[in-house]
Amino acid sequence: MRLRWSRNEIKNTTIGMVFLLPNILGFLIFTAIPLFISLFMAFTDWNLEMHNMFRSGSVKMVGFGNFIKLFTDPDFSFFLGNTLFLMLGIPFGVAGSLGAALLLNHNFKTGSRRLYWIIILTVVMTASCLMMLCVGMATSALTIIVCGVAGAAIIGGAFGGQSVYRTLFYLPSFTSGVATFILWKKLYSPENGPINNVLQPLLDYITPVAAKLSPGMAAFLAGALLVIMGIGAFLAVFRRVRLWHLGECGILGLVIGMGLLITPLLCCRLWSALSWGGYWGFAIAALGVCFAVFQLWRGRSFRSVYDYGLTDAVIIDGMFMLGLFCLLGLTNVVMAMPVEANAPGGYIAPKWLADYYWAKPALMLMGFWGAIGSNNMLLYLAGLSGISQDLYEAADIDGATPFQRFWHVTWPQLSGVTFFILIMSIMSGLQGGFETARVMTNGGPAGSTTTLAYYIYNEGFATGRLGYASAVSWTLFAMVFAVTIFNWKFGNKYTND
Amino acid sequence: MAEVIVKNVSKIYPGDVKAVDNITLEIRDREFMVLVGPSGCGKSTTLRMIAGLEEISEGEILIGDRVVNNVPPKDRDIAMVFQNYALYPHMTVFDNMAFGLKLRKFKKAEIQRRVEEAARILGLEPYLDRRPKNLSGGQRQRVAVGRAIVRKPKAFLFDEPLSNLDAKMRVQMRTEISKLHSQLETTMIYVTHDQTEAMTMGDRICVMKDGHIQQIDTPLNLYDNPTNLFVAGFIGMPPMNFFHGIVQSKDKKLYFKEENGFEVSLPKRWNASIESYIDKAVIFGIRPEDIIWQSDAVGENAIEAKVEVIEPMGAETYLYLNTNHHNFIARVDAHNPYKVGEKAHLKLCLEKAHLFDPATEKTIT
Amino acid sequence: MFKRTMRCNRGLRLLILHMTLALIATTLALPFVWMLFTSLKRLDEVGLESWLPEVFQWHNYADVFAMKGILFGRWYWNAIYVATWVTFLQVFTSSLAAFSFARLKWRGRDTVFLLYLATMMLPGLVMMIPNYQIMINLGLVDTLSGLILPCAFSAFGTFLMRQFMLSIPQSLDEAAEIDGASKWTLFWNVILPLSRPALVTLTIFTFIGNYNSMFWPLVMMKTPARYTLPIGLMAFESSRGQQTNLLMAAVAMSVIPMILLFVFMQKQLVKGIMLGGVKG
Repeated sequence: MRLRWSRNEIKNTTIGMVFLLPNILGFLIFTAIPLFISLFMAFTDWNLEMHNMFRSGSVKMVGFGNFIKLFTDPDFSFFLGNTLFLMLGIPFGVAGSLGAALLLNHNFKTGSRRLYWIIILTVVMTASCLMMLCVGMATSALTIIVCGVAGAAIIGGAFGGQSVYRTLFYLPSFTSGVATFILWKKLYSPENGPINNVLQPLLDYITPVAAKLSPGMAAFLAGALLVIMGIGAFLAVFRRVRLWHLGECGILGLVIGMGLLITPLLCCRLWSALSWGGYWGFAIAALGVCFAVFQLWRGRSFRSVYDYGLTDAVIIDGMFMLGLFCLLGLTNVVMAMPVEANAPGGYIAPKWLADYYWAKPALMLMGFWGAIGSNNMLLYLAGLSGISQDLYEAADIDGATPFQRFWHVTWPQLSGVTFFILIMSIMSGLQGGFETARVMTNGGPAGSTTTLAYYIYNEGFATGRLGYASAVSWTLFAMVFAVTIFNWKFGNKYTND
Repeated sequence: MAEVIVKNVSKIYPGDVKAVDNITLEIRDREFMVLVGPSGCGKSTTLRMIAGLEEISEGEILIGDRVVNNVPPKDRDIAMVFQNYALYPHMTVFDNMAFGLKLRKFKKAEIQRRVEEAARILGLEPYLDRRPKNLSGGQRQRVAVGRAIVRKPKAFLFDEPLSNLDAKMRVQMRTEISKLHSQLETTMIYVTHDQTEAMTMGDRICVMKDGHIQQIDTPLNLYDNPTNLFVAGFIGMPPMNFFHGIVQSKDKKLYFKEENGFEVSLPKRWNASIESYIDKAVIFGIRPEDIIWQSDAVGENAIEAKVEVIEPMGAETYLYLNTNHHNFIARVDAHNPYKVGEKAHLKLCLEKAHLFDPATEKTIT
Repeated sequence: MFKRTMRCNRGLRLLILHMTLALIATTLALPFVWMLFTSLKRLDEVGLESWLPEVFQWHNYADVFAMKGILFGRWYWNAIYVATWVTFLQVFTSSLAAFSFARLKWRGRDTVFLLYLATMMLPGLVMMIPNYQIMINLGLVDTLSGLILPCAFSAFGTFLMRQFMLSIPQSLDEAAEIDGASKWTLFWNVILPLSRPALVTLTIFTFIGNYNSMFWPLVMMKTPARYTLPIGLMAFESSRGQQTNLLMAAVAMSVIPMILLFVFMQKQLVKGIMLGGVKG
């Protein structure tokens, strides 16, 4: 770098700074300065009521006191756990938006007008038949409404093509805010909310059937499910180790993949019926870490030659993890089925937001509603339209089935987008959950929906302990930063090709 | 109307990369000067320094007796036509041409008059209300030229303006720009990598390579008397054939002996200049059209070669020949008797042949 | 014959595709449908299983404005006022800065830009606490300008605009320079008009984001008359939440402008997201 400034350079820099000035002023006042103040605050006992940075100098430096308090505080780890639990909804959302994008990516335009009329007529006829059947049987006008909306959607879609469906898909995420949260709060209302109004009759219908199931039978079914889960987990582990053995994935990929696969086992501890599984999880995790350390010690490199394994590990094993989770949940349901059914009153629809265990899934379900048609879907659509048609034609000539086309052409081509979306979702997931918690549950019941963001708000503005709140927010920042570093180190490889 | 003088100019990029190395170039008033060379030779950089888009690291540039080193582009009284046209996509053709005049606070009526005049010269009158994206490549190119014309600048600068056009359009625009030059009688500096464009359009041509000027001359002089190996090979299509060999003296006559191949007796008038090269390595260069087909070619300067590829061009035919693993091209009469794989009998005409020094690459004769 | 079966297959596939898509779209739209019907019910009908009201109570919508203690019209206006100002300021400052980052060459430019980028990664929460202190000292707590000011400068907007401006060919700048344009003319007459897709995207997103924003107003606002719509709705929900029909009417009224905005602007929006999205 030359130190001498030529006349032209001075002129250019001045002009550049003049254009930048309005923004950089705001940047300094509302970003840079607060940043330093916040960092300073994290090491003090700053209190909202007692201190003011410009007038009183009486704040006490507490050194790392806030951070020590934070890491010893059981609340913090509990809320961190909540945040991570809610983030488990991310893969479902991403998968949903990928699915939506794949469906929307079809070519609707080439069909002839006549074809569309045939489609519409078929749909309308089926719909009206269904409606007559349902209206004859049930009393609810709900069916009529649903069929009406679906009919309208399909007619719109047949003529408007992609953009009509895209609009409908995108609306939930576009309008997401306090208004929709209040709407969902009402939907989840346990006594007479529309969800339970539909759910309760269904459960009443199932109860006598489930009550007939003997506990032994239930245990057998659950056992069978567990065996399936075991085989699945074994296959996934085997696949990962084999990939590692072939050198297609590095130690990092191995550790991450294994970690993901073990998570369901660890989470067994959350369900009382299967708490013994958790110990196995810990044991396997410990073994895996020992193994990895041993390999590293023997000179195995940290990353593999191709390092194709990292996205593969994150995404494929992530999908396996989701599958295992679903099976695990199902096992629990099957185990509990006859017991609950024989209880007085039979199955009762969950109280959703008012229930300690159901509040988080309720929030995740709402998140999924918004996630299907979110920006991620648009990113995937953009990614899909960027894939060269030649690749598909080459695959067709090679005789690929539709699934193979997806697996060998679409999916690898989208890996950059997927990686980007995942990283962004994780970063926002770590910082998220404030608005829903504030509007829908106030962090309850019993703190089960309090995320770190809501915790910071509570500490900072409700109890006024700004110093402590700053310490929490910097800890949160450290986590986000770790994800960013990970992205920098490994993301470029996938986003740049 | 002005002359443009480039005096000892260099362009040094950070990291001591010399894009242009101490060049001196004088472009006379009303001259059409073409800068030509392979990509990366510094021709565009030179043009952009004249335009004021790049800072001049060393030396000075004069436009009409005025040193313009620190004059911003808009005050240099020049106009430039860019490779990708650089038309403002959101403005109509009229506005595109008028933009420069509006910024210079010309009167409305004057702007109207000038734009319409330019449109008439370029045949753009029906398109004045269109946006650039609704025009064909050639029309866009004309708008870009029109934008330059309306300003009536001292010098026009063209930066590879035809390279985005298809082959047919390129030939057409080539003649149009030449016509425009004779019509406007202004200094024009034209950068291209295409030697055909350079030959057909330029009053004089400046051949550049690696930031250095190789030769400045009129097209025909350049073709007939290249100063070095590079210019000889760069100008002319198909390019000049080069043979490595040595000069030999036999019976007071000088011969060029190709490495383990044929012998050529060299004209007497060369004797003086090549005496010092006897028994030394030289490069012998001959243009494809100076290799003539003769069915009974024997004796002096006759060679035999195998025909590998025949490319009939209609008026003439290119023969791709091989003698002793050395490939060369002959440009012969279309009606020759040869077929692929046959031996061809050829005669070399040495009127316009050249000898080059392999070490300095300079022309000996 | 072969062609015919192909055609049939294609028809069937299209049919299934349309059915699937319509099914998903319906599921996603049902909450909104419920919202609309509920907002038109009588209060005693709300909990019933039937979604349809007996008689459409259109006056519910007017009633929301007339409710005591619920300054709905006021909140509506505040939200739009704040969102408009923030959008205007942010788009203006962002495009100026983006122009500087994308089209001007000056020493240290890329370093400064990296700093900007780095701040995008900071959790907003980190800055909110000290920002509140700054607002106290500026005496802007509980004022609308206090809501507008800190949001008027955005690294994200700068980033989006810069990415777009980078895609405009550099030779336009040079052509303009030779035409005699100053940097401001270049910005105002050439680059800005050409950045329209990015401008529209940024405008809509900023507007919606601020129309919906809740954290900062929640922290800042104490007086009900100065609430914006989101915290107003929250106040409504916590004080008069039992009147579900009116609450839903209020919710519907706050959602519908966004839906309309999206439906009309969706082509531009989608284009903008796709432009700026994948790369960064």
